[in-house]
Amino acid sequence: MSRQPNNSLSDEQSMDINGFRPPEKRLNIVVGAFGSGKTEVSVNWAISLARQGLAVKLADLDIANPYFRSREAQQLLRENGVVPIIPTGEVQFSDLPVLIPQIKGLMQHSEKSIAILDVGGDEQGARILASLRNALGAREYSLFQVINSRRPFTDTVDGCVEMIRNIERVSGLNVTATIVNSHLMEYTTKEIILEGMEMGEAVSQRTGIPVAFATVMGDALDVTKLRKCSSCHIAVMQRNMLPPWLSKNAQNSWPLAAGDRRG
Amino acid sequence: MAKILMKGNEAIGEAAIKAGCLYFFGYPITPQNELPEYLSKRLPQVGGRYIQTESEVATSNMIFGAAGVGVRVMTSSSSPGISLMSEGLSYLAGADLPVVIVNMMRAGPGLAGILPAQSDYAHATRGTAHGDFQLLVLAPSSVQEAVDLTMLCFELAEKYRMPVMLLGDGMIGQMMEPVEFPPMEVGPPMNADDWALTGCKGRAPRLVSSLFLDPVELNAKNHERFEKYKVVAQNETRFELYNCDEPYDILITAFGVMSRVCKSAITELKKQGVRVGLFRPITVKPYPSEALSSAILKARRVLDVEMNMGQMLVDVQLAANGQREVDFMGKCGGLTPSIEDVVEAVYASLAKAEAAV
Repeated sequence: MSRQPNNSLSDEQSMDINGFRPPEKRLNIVVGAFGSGKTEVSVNWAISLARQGLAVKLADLDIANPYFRSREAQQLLRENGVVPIIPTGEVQFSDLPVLIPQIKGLMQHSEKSIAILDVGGDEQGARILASLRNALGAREYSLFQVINSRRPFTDTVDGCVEMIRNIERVSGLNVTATIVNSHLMEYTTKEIILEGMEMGEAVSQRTGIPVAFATVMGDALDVTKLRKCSSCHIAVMQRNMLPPWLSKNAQNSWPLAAGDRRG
Repeated sequence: MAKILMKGNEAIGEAAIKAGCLYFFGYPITPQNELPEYLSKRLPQVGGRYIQTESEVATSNMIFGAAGVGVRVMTSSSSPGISLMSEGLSYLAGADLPVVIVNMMRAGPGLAGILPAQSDYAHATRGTAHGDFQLLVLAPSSVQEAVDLTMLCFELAEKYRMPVMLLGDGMIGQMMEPVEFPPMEVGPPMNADDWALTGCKGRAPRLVSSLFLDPVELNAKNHERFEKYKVVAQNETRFELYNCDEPYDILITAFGVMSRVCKSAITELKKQGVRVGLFRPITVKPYPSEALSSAILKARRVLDVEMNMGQMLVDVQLAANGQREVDFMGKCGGLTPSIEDVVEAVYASLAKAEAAV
């Protein structure tokens, strides 16, 4: 299966199909509750922007998860023109809080490229941001909180607000927008997507934090119909972090990709 | 109850709560940390207690104490941590205590790596620790099955007064799948009235111990316990047969998540006209040997696939009992045999079967 950008579509058309828009700021930090889908959203967003011809770097700042981190999609990212900023060598297979110098570089220099920082889950994962606050200085950033209403602890508005406040407290940064990523994998229904969007709106009313966009897995639902049901912007994703029994291409399956040292 | 998206580790934690477990003692280790993390949040909400121990040695003694006073208790760890607990597991078995132990296996031996593997099959089913004893060991292949079997673990531990292990691997612990929790009627721990240390006011004092200095008494105790293991083997072996209703040439044996890769391979092979069945033990101790023997006799050759160097192979060979040849294919260190690997190995087994004719 070709992973190359589909050249038969113009950039505008492909952007229109998957709906991932270029972010307002160059520095984009993605946080959220554990298992909310930060990595899948970050990887999809980065690849989509790269396919639109933009220079994109994706930094893996996950110090909380032992597997399913964006470093496991490094081959896919490179094939699609995204520059992955990840630890190299065998330390990338560890659960150590490795922070490589390029990440501080990303935050300090006013680069032309768009940077997406995929941060680990919960306030524990967001703790790494506090150590990068000095490097960030007065530079402008967007901090996106990913929300899945079908995950424990963020299945209510109260739970989501509490998670936002905890991450803000630990990181010392302010959440600037939410990304609604409500799903139940193959059991995702239109109702679950709409329920997530409603919750995003309710969180917004309570906190003043707007919803940036919502996500839908492309193969699951009729996105055109969904777009008619809500004013919320929808971006279409594909599932990249596949377990070995769902992946025909062993090099892109998890955790084989993690064991592939050719990248 | 509506389905919810959970990591295997979290789901097992919630299943324990649903099964009425109120006590968790454990020490952190990747890749099972989300389980204690989840219970540290949830147990106080239901009136339970969570304690992070100073080591796995302390853990096994703390679960001994809790089980000894007749409360429902569990712990979880991963390979090296379970090794460190092993002495305590033997004490628990020697004192006939109902506890649930979760092992989310990682690559070994030694400190090795944090990626998933099936590296402790032999440890769980044969060489857990010193002395004559067995664990009852269940191996789930999905997050939903991990939930169902966790609940069953508590039931079996109390029914047979023995330590029960849920044997998963890092993949089961870390992957996310939609789950639902079946309604469960939860009462106080069963079968604890005549031995648990509940305070001896108004009755004779009791002792929970694995110390038996009198050889005659110890011999009798062990024989009695092994009679119980026979009953467990008779009543509690569980397995799954996949694609075995139609005739098959090769029978694959695999447990846990490895069986899911094999199922995908079987679907591929079906398209190519190759007939393959799968036998998946759900209880790996006691092993469903009789059921496997009958399944093996319907095949021309057997292929055992594991995420280790062939630890279940001996159980498969015992069930084959010299009637059929058994091939093995495995990867370890955190690698998983892929669909292509399994397809290739099936063709190799098939070629050997042809050559033997």
